[in-house]
Amino acid sequence: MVSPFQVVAIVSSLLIILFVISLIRKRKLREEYSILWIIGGLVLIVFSIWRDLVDIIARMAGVAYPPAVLLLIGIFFAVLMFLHFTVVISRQEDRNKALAQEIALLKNRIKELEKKSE
Amino acid sequence: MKPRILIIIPAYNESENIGRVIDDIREHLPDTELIVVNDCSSDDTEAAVIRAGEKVLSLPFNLGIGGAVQTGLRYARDRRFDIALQVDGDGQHPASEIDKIIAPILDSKADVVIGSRFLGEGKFKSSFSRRIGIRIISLFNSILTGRKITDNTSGFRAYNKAAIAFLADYYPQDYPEPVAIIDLFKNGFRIIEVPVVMREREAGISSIGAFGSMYYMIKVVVANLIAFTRKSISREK
Repeated sequence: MVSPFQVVAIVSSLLIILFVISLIRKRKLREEYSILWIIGGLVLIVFSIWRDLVDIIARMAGVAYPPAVLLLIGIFFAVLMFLHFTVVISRQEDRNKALAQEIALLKNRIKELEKKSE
Repeated sequence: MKPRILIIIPAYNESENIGRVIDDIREHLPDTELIVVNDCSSDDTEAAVIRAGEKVLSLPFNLGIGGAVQTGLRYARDRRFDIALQVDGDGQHPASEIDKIIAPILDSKADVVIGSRFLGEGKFKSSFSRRIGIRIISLFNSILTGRKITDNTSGFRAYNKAAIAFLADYYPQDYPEPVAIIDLFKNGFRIIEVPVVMREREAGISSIGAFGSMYYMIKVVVANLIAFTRKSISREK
């Protein structure tokens, strides 16, 4: 039996995946960063269709209150995402720094060449 | 052939001091090239340098001391200087001490020379919490590197050509002075300290209080321990 809640869960998970794909198509999101989002969406769909999965995992892990497993997975995914973002930000900062330094060196070089050609 | 020496002066809002720093260097080392790295100062540091007739590298936004010094090191590498010497733009480092720092590199006794306030008879006043922080950082870095390093945060340093080439690519950003020591050690550079006299800061009081200096110490120690676990980078010597 499919409950109305299940339908809502499946549809919203699908919408998330479609939204991510459309962002990639419009070139607003790089493929590289989208993989985690798509995997996250697929995991949501699996949990929406296979309702017993949460109970199975809870029993295996010895969790008394099965919905807590969902929260745990959600938080784990979010933390993973944040970590991924800080890695991306660090790389951006490194590249920004290198660009700034290059600009300073080039400005100096231009000034020198201008002086020479005068 | 005489080695070409570049003096790198990182400066952030030093329009009041930079002229004096340049004059001091000109007086003691008239033939040495120098370059000021202006770390996007909001005052007219750049104009002051140009007025003094010297070259300036102007960063388009503020990078902090690590990024500024690295810019100067890249300049030194690109222009094939043999020795790069870092002198702070606030007037703490007297030009009369520069010869002492360069000498071990000229004699090929070291790749990196750090001018230390705490070696020898130097009596440098500092707050109690700050002294403890300095001691602990020094203890950690001395254990990690197996040699006594007393002044890990000193920005009065000289590098030879190989060290310039290495740091131009891998200069640390967050606690650059102490972390650079570990990175250089791990990559096989010979580091020595020489005693130097530094001036007290002329203007402004240090913004780091007792808690601040403890917190700074912990961050530096953690950063250094992590840096120590880094693999050395293969490079041609």
